Amino acid sequence: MFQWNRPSAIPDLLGSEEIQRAVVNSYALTGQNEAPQTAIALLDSIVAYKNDPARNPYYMIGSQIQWVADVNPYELAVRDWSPSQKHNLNVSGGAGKTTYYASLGYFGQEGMYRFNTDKFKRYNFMLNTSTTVTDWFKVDLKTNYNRSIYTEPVNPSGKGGWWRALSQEPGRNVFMPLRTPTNAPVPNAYTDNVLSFMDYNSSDKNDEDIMLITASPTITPLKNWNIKADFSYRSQNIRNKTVVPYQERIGGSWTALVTDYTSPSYVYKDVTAINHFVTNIYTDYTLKLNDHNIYGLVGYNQELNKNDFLWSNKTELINAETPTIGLASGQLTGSDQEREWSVKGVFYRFTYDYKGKYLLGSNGRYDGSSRFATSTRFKMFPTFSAGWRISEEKFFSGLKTVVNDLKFRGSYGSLGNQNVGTDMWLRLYGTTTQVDYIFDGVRPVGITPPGLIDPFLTWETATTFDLGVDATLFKRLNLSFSWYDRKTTDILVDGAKYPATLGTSSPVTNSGVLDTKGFDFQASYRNATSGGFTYDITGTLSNYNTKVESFSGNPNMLLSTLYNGQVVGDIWGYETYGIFQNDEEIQNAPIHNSSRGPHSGLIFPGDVRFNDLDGNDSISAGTTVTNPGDLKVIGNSTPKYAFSLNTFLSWKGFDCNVFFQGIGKRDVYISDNLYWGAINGGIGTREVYSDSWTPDNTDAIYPAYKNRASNVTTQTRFLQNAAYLRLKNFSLGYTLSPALAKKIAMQKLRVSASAYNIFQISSVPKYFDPEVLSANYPMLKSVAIGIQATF
Amino acid sequence: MTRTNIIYKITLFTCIVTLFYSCKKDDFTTRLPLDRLGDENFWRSENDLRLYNNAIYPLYITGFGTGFADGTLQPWGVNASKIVYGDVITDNLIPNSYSTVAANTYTVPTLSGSGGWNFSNIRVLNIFLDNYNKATVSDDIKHLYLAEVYFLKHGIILKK
Repeated sequence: MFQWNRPSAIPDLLGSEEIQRAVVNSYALTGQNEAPQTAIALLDSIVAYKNDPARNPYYMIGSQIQWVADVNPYELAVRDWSPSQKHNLNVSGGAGKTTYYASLGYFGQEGMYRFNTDKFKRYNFMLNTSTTVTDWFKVDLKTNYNRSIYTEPVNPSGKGGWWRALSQEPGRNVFMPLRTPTNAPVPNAYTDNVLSFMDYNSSDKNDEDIMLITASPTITPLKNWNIKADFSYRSQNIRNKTVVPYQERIGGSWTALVTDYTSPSYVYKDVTAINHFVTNIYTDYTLKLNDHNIYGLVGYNQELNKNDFLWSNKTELINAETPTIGLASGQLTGSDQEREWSVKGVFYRFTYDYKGKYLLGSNGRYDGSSRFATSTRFKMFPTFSAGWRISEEKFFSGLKTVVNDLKFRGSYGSLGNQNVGTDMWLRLYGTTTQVDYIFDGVRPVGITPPGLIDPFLTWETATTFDLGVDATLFKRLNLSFSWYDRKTTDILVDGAKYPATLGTSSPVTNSGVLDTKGFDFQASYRNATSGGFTYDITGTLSNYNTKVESFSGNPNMLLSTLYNGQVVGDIWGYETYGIFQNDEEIQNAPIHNSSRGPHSGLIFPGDVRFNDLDGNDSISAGTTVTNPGDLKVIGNSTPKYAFSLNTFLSWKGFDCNVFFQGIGKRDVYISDNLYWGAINGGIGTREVYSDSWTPDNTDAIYPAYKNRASNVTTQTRFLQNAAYLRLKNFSLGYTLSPALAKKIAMQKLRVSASAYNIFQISSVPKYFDPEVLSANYPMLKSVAIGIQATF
Repeated sequence: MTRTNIIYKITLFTCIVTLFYSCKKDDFTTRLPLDRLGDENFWRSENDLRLYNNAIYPLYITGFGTGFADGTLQPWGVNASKIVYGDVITDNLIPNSYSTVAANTYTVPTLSGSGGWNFSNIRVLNIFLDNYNKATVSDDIKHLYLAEVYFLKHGIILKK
């Protein structure tokens, strides 16, 4: 399969002229009369360069370089389409009492940048064999090998991922060309534009292989009685290598070159070996007594995970072409980490049904984890379920032609979660290699005391009560609905607040109850017409809501951590009144610049005005639920009403698949400066700039375009509706008829074309993916063609 | 061997293996840290006591490696190294700020959050007092380190 990807939207960044004009205008917006001459001169030069690109993209103020180029980092760096490909080869067969299945796969993808782009490769191999030794003994062997390699240029630390870094620092990334002009004092050299880091030959390579071997013997001593075991071993090796060669760049001077992030040069290597051992031994028995069906299973499970990490770093590469620890001359640093965790437990399952009409079941686990203290290590997690297929009852027979199957079901049970660090239950001492004190002329090693621990740390338990109904109507329509209430008790959190007299921070403890209520609904309809046209439509809808039922660590109901009654995902913010239009309005409005207020310092027309919810004539943020000041819950970031619609159509060898997916309700507050531009210190987009407040544009949506992050404070006016509908997949395929396929010596041949993420409805800025809402990587849309052949 | 005989033996073997795995009590799920110091491998020797006390000194007697500053932390008037800046409580030099003790304006902190009510440094000493007896060294040596801790503890209590 060959596929081509591209970002579905590229931010419409401002050019250097608009950026500098905004800077010049911002002086008037902050109560200063006139922009300084230097800012105006810079603007003039930018305009002059724009009108005549033959000029130099810089001018000098003494020995200081002023750059005036007009680079759009996204246009320069992002290519139109980046390719990827995926190939698979499967073989299966058998001889005598042994059958096998083997598969070989390759996946390769290139990133979306023009220079030195990131690359991903994955190879996988699988071999499964099954041997029937005697009629009561069988052995399955599975071998799985997976290797992936990812390389990318090193992004300077602190500048964020590449996609986001491109939207920052206008003075570098827009005003500086990638290289100095040929007639410059230092010709054709890298400037301090972020793209120079991408283009020069630094590299970050991640190389990972995973080998999984499983042996599963099955003994069948009697008919209906099996004894099975799985012994598996997974070996995972991760190797990282980072190479940052020395590089000088031109920033503000031709003589004092910039070497931040690229000096000293270094090579960093690390190796992680993870060995995971699993043993499962279980036995089951099936019993059928007239109309009674009984199934029982008991077993034992244990897992051991060992993690061994070693890193080292050496500065001053002798030769950038051969970057190794041995061929570097600077400071060598290194360390390691060794971790282990294990779980073991016994489990059972029991099911019973009478004529497939009344169903009963129970399963459970008694589990222990090395992450918890000895006395609280083991815990029992049972589940009980019952079902009634009412459609099998005699009195239902009249309805059976319409309602073919109808089942009511319910279950109640619990599951454990051990998702905490490996030694949270142990007191661990810290070390200081050199204390800040001199004893006998040296600074010796020191040991620092452990933090608090909870010696009764135990499993987090999720107890679910669930009711549901499944139905089949007209032999074509399947409906399924479940409602559930999941209580998570003993949640593992470190948010407990203690007084400062304790002398240390609070430990991770089991404190609190979360309650999640929700439902899942699925409906599918499939049919085939006499003309050979078949269709299959499946729709789903689900929703949930999580509330903090109790949390013992927050008696003062602070907003900074979980509190009783909190709806998870709630966004606290100010209620926006509007934008200050004139000084008179600022004078008469509640005070906005108190110590806990949203703004600090002087307030100017063009700043955001908030509503005084608590009526004390001062806008301020409270810290507790009972006294939230002028804050209130303005939205909820939990995705609500997730829905999907999957349609599959086929007719005479042609098939078509359309998959829509979306979220019905979600609020999100984007404060990233990719969106806010200069208001929050980034480059910014035309969308925000052209609709920002000025004395002439008083009914603008956005506040005045000047650097003032306090206008970005979470508030109602800029809360985004993150609901969306997306066409995730649209594919068309054609399968050759078996007769035709046979003529070219094939069993099956299918060609297909697909498109992903090509259409969506959403109101968040289009360069944010509404599914992930992160500025670090854009949403990709792609087209693909594929071919499947079976011989 | 008949078939049932073999099956019987394999079943028995499986049961024994299972029992063996599950009956090794709690060794399998007890995983002590491999790369960090815990209560299980610390407080053993004189060296442990000494290393622990090494880290206490900088908390109480500001020394080498502490930044240059002339803040107004109680009670000396500076919060930088007293080895270097100790002169501020003599007549040899005049600091930007003054020593509240010398000026007789020092007040014992009362409010929480005022700096005087964070007991993290005393906690460090108390952990020593709770644990030093575990070390397998003679009382003479133990008392040497105990004395250091008592000295510092009384010092800080005087300030409260």
